[in-house]
Amino acid sequence: MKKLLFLGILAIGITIPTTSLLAQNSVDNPDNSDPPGLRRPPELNKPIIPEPPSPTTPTEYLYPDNSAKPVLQMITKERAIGQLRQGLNLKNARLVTYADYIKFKTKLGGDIIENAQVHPNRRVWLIEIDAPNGIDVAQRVRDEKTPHPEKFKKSKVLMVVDAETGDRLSIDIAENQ
Amino acid sequence: MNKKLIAAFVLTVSILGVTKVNASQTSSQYTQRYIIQDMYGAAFTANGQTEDLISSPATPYPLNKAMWIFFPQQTNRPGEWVELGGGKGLTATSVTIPNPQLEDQTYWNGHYFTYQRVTADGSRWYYEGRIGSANPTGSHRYKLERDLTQPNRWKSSVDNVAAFFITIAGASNYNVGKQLNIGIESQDNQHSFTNGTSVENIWSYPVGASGFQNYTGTAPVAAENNNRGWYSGWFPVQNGSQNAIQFLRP
Repeated sequence: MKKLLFLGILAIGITIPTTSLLAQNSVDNPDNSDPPGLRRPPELNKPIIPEPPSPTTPTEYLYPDNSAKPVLQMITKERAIGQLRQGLNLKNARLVTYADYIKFKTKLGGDIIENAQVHPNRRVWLIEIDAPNGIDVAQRVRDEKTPHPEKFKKSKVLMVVDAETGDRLSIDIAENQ
Repeated sequence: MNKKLIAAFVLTVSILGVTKVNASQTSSQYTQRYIIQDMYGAAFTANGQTEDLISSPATPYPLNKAMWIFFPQQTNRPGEWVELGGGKGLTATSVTIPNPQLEDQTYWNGHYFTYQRVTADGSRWYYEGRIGSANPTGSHRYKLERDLTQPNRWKSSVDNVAAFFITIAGASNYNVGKQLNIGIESQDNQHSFTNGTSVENIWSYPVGASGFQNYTGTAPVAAENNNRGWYSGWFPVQNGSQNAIQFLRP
């Protein structure tokens, strides 16, 4: 009996403050989006800064033209590829210019990408990889009600590695290619 | 006494060791806000980018503070979006294995751009590209904007320096974004972030407007997977002060 009484008091003790807190929060924030009592920190009290027009052309290439450099100064194919995960097959790797990669990508899928940081004559390793059993790619959805799609089915992967520094510049993953 | 101390020390070290190797990939976890608006672009400043993101090559799956502009969702089709922000993690997480060698270039701490679009048969094309030099510190401004002179073409810039331009050739219409999300995304169970890290000065380019406008509304929580108790506060434009989002954790 004493145990029941104790549990009852405990339940009331938890329920009343919680309900009151939630009610107060819904009054303060009709969309119930902000935690109760949260105040703007002083460091966020800054004047609005106008938005400048977007730049339209490259100002300075982070990866400039290096087509005049000898091929021997480029990194090896093996280093560019690194170690692939299980289930992925290397199809080929070739030393091309960045412009060649852009053309290849456009021919394959139609998208036209321009990278304002990489000179069109920059040497890169274009690595083609087959993923016959598919590949996991993080999927964004607009809200939790939208179903999360499953992993990519059979895919082609294009990995672009800067041939001078070894930096992995980008990756394309194309499903059903 | 000494034996007890040594035993306690060994136990502590082994527990820490176990904790460290327990990092593993999870489904995406978020704390974020969203704005529903037909838009030609959006811009925001991320503070503490990327040093406020607590991750390392030992916790290698993506941890990002970024914005996503979604295109109209087709029925029974995967999502389509353009994304710009800063983060830490393996480049092409699902393709390559982290290489412990010094010359390894797999891990990336820096700005990035990604997009995904869908073809007529529902097949997806995903792209991710690095922007700028590694290990950026301090605050950085990210902007995505439609190039209204050409169909389906979007521009991206970081700190008002041009990055990627993309003309999307999928089956949908990519001329207008339908929703903007800004937040933190994590795919590793060991990730964390500096409590109170923030973004500010959020602008958008509503369809029908003549250009970018400071966003003066409120942005509700975008509910997605979040099993870590992460949350956020939205501070609207007030008395000439910028709007801002602060990200917090227990």
